[in-house]
Amino acid sequence: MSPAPVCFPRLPLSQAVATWQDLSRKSLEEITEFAGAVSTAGAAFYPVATGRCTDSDLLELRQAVMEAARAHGYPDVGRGKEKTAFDQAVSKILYEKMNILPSDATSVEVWNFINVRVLPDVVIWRYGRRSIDGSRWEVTEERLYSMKRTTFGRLWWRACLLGPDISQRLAEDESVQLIERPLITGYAPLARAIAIRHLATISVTRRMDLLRDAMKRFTRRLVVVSVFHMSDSQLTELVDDVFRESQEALKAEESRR
Amino acid sequence: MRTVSLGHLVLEDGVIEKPEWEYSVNGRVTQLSDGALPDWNYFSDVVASCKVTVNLVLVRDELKLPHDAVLGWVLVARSSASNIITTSPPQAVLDGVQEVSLLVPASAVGGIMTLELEMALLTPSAAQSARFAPSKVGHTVYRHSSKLILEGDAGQLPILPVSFRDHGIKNPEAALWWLRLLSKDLHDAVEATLWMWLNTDNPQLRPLIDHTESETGDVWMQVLKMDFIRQLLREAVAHPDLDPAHDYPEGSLGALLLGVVRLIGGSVNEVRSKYADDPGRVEAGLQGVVLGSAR
Repeated sequence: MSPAPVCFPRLPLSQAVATWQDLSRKSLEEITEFAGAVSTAGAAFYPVATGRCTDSDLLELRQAVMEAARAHGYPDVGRGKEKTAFDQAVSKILYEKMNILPSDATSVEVWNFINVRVLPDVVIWRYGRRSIDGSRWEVTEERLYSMKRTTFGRLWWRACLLGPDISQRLAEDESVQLIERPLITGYAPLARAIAIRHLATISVTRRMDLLRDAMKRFTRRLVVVSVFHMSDSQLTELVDDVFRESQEALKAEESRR
Repeated sequence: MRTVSLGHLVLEDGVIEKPEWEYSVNGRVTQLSDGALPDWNYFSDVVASCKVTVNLVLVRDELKLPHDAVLGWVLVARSSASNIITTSPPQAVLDGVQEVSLLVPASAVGGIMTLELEMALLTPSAAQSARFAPSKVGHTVYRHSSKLILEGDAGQLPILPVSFRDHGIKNPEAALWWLRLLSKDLHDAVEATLWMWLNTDNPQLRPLIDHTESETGDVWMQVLKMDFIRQLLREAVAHPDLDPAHDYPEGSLGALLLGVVRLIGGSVNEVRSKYADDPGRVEAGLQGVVLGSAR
């Protein structure tokens, strides 16, 4: 039996901003040293958390993510492809290593802690750059404090909603198309059926166009049809039907050009 | 009976008596307190039960549904915090009193939980259906919803002290603040969508950042509040998808923008029209409402 899920430390926005401002003026080596000393001591948790992660949980998580980062080129600047592959690998690592309660994972303060206290050096490698005057590291605020774009939180949610194996196979754009439509992706059987259908699309040059078009059609269909009454095979049939419609619509659009 | 653009018949209000809801937390029946479930926390399983009475003959008649078609109930729980949707297994609609229950595991919820009882076609008729009768699996004919507040959802506007110089703003020592809209999705939570950035490079803003309780900080806060609502109004009138008839989740951008429009009074289209004619006048009216309520 797997151990009961736990809660993670939280870093309020004001503290996260102050910590980051301080860190951003340090060298990468100093930031790595700071993150390597991460601890739960004095950290705030969900007030009635009965299970809390330990220092070793944090360090193990850090080690696993660092290994994945190194395997994808850390600390070198690297190419976009490697970083996409890193995201895909880390999505599964976070989901499997953290064992965090989904309710707790809805708090952006948890992800502030992960970004700024546990893995700031990896955030810098993934999204950072030196400022023009060379005085500090720059990372956009969205990657640090926004629930939607937070560096690690969005990858964890991807694995939670789509399943770790599927999320590992999706590129950033594809995941965003699926994840940022909560009325669709919140229902795991549908989200997974769409993702599987999308991944089965073989060498279609306009694969992303097809997914975008299909997602719009799903949004419209779900007003009329309840997917919650469908069996898995009926759901697959619906998904195939919508993708077929999209394919035909795109073909028709191409032929008009 | 009404025909709707859905393409099939749905049940008119009143055909199904208003369902009765009951909630249990960790196995104990719990009474709601102002819409909230007391004693709920991240480790509490919630069971929602809905007792509903159906006159199946009347329902079939209203929907022009053949006798071999089967309708089903499903209870759907949506969590505003996690977006995770949990559902009960479909069960056939029976004549008389029926109970539909759903266990929502503790780990799947947070914020506000919206529960929806849905009746839809489970098995279509083998025979030719009447023209507008529901004919495909999942064709929804009835919905009834209930909301449960699980944890405080008082949306807080994240305010970040940020160096505008670092963001390449010209004359960074003079700029004040920046309302950042991270998404235009009307269903997104406000706290994930809006950020108010305060410029740390402007020395005049220090009271607002460091001493919000001070008199100067208070004056700045009033001005900021007014400007913030003014910008939201501008966003509301410009947003092409803002629909007053839509039930946006509490704490969402859509609910916030509709709230701002209601401050002016009138429908969204009326406010849009007034704003197009004379935005200054509309904003002056907004100042009266916002600053008047602050007194």
